[in-house]
Amino acid sequence: MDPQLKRGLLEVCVLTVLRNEESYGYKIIKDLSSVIEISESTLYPILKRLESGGCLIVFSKEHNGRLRKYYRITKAGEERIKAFLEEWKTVMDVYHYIIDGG
Amino acid sequence: MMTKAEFLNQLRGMISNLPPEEVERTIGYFSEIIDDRIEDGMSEKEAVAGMESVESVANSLVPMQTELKDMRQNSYLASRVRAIFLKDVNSPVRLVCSDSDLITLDYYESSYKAYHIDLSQSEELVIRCEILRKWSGLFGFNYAFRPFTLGIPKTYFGSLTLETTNGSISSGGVDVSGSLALKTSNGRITVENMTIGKLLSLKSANGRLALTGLKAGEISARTSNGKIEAINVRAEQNVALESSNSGIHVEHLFSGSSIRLVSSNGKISGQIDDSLRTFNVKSRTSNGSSTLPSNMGGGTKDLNVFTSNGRIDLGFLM
Repeated sequence: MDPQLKRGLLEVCVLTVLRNEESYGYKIIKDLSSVIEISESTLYPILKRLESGGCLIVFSKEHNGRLRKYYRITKAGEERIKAFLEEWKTVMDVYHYIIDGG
Repeated sequence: MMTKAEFLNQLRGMISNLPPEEVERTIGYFSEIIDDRIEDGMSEKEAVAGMESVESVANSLVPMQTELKDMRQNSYLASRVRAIFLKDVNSPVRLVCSDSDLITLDYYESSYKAYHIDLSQSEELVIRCEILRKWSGLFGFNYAFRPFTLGIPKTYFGSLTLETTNGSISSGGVDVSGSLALKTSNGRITVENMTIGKLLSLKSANGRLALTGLKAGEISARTSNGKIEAINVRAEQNVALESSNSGIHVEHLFSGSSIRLVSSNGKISGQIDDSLRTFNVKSRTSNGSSTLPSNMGGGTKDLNVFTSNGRIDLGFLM
């Protein structure tokens, strides 16, 4: 898959995981592993970008005597999913055009 | 096989060109992942061995350095700018306090998006964004959806017109002596704790509009598919709130001359900071109950409330 296309998909996948519940790095990777290949080091910049874009907030919670970072989706994050789906409609039109042989 | 400490130390060495707080965050993130893997039943060495190599982890952080490279900052002396026009695409727009006498611009450029900024002779700051590649949104947030943050002094003597598509707009904690116009196609608009000397106008096609703690000369807010909420809002002159398909809710709304609340398919509810007798009332709902008289004269201000398919439930001061 084109790496930039994959990056775009991953961002929305991560937001989709968080739309269900707040989560942490390791669990996000586990939850997504059945849908799309994602490694620890791919996830990190994505979380960071989504945070700086206001799509999620980060907070620390104690877990087994250590601090673990949790991520929670914001309204802007939910809007980002919507905008992505809207934009994909255009792509799907092209896809169907191609499938149907023009 | 490496221990956790060895892995993190090597990583630290390879990303030392990042800002120090970024290095700490990165180390914290990978340390947490290793701890979580151990907690999941792996031994420390297994947990580390199961990760990618330090080199490939460090390489994958290169885009973060690109991110820093894409960041742009500009500033202008606010006293030299009497109007600001921003026309963005896809980015959320934030209007914030710059905590100085400067107008500050914080945004991102990339091979997908560029900005043209021009300060004219007539002291108008015009910011226009250009999308260099279509469908850039599909290629990720990195390129199209990063926010544009505009900072202005706590009290700005001028006017602003801020526009975007697909992004939300938020604005708060500053006073504007002129007018403030905010427009987006698909995002919500939030305006909080502001005093606006002249007209405050909000326009969104599909987003919700939220106004809280505002004073303005005049207010006009229109959306097609979003809800409108106005709480602790006062205007010297007219207030017009219009939503086609959603409800309108007001609390402590005051106007010096007229209030117009119009919806097609939503409920209109809340409370107005005035007595009912102050108003010449015209109201209508086709398919709902109403607490207002449909036509009443004798007032000094106008109150017009119309909806087709919703209830009208408005309260007043005694």
